Amino acid sequence: MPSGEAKRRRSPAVEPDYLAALPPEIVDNIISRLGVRDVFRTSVLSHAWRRRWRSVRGLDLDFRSSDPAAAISSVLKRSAAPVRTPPSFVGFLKLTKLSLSEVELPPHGERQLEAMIAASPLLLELSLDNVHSFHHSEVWFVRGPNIRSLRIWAVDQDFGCRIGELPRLEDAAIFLDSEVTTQVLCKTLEGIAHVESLDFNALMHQFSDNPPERFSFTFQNLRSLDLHACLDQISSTSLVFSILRCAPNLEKLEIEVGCYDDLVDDGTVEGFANAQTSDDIFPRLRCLVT
Amino acid sequence: MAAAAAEATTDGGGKMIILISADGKRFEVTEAVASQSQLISNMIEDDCTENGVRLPNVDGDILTMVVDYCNMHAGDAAAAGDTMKASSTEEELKKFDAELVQALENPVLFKLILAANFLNIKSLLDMTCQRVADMMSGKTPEQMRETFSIENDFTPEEEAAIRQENAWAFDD
Repeated sequence: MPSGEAKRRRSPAVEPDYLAALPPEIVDNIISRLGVRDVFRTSVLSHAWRRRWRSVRGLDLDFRSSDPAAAISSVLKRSAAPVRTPPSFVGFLKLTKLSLSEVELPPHGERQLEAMIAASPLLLELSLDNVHSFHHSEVWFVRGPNIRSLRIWAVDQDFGCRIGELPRLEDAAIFLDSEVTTQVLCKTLEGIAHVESLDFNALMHQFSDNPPERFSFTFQNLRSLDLHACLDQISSTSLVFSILRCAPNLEKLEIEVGCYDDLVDDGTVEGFANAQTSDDIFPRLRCLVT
Repeated sequence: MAAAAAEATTDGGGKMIILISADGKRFEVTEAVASQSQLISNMIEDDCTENGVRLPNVDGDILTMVVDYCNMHAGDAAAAGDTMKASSTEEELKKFDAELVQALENPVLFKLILAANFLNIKSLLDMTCQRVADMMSGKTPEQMRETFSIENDFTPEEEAAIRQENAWAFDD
């Protein structure tokens, strides 16, 4: 693998590589003291340094306002460890899209994330995919004056994310952990009730209390609904009906049936489809896919 | 720390203990000074410093610096309990610290980091790690490699690809 070129460029080995000889926690300590540009530059030093920064806890995110949003998001996406924003942080003034996936928040990191999102006034698209907390999640709110698209995927853990003011939200994809309470579920749906398009997971396997028959709000703008449901589970089915009852302007409905035991037979699905199409509560429904 | 203070026999510097470096050099320091090392502080608490503390990982020249540092900073440790004992002003300490790390060649700096880590002297470890970080800050990758003798095992193509990925971090 080391070509002649790589060998030629090798610096004369007058000194050993002292950094390589340090215990990893000391290298972490050193990297955490670097500015984000210097941190990125270390990735080009050698193979050993290529991904070294990703496991460092407490990286200092001192971005400049001129830094491209892609750079910011790539740092957040790749860092396996909690990062902290400096006190002078004023916000990602130009950020339009933020996607966090498999991110572990430090203690009280929920507050930082909440502040970071709220301090990104031009944010249009937000995706939170399996964000984890160290211990018990604190409740925090997603707020953004310009957010049009929101995706919350919380399969393994309820990471405390609740819906705040999202006045311009148009489409939402929500997959909540099965342990959330009915109240949280209703609040979440209420917060996004003005969307035009919703992708919602209603596989409520461990749902202890039944969802309400009818919500106190309606999905007035909802045209397109994509539901994941388990139709042999009473709680899941009744949740599906509760949502459908409150969606008077629905034009396109897609129901994806998913169950752990795969025992649901086609008859159930067909019966469900028939029940819907024969029902008068969807005057505008044109397309049903099951 | 409290236990160490309680054992002090005189109201001057307290009980003395002997630190012995890897090459057999002996340093006599007060418990208060030595206690800045969490490792030694624990040994004092466990009463196992009677016959001197052997430090097989630390050379005499490095231990000289560590002892100087601890003597200089004994003031802050004592100040926690008794403000009268603060011996050096903050200004003097800053100057002393800056001079201590500024002049160091790499081999000595890294030995000092390892000694601070082994002895568990947090302030000295932080200071020396900060020195290394300062030596990396604002440098190009080539300069960083040169400063720390890091061997570039990328092919030019690999290196170019990584730079491209994060071009924004290399644009100045």
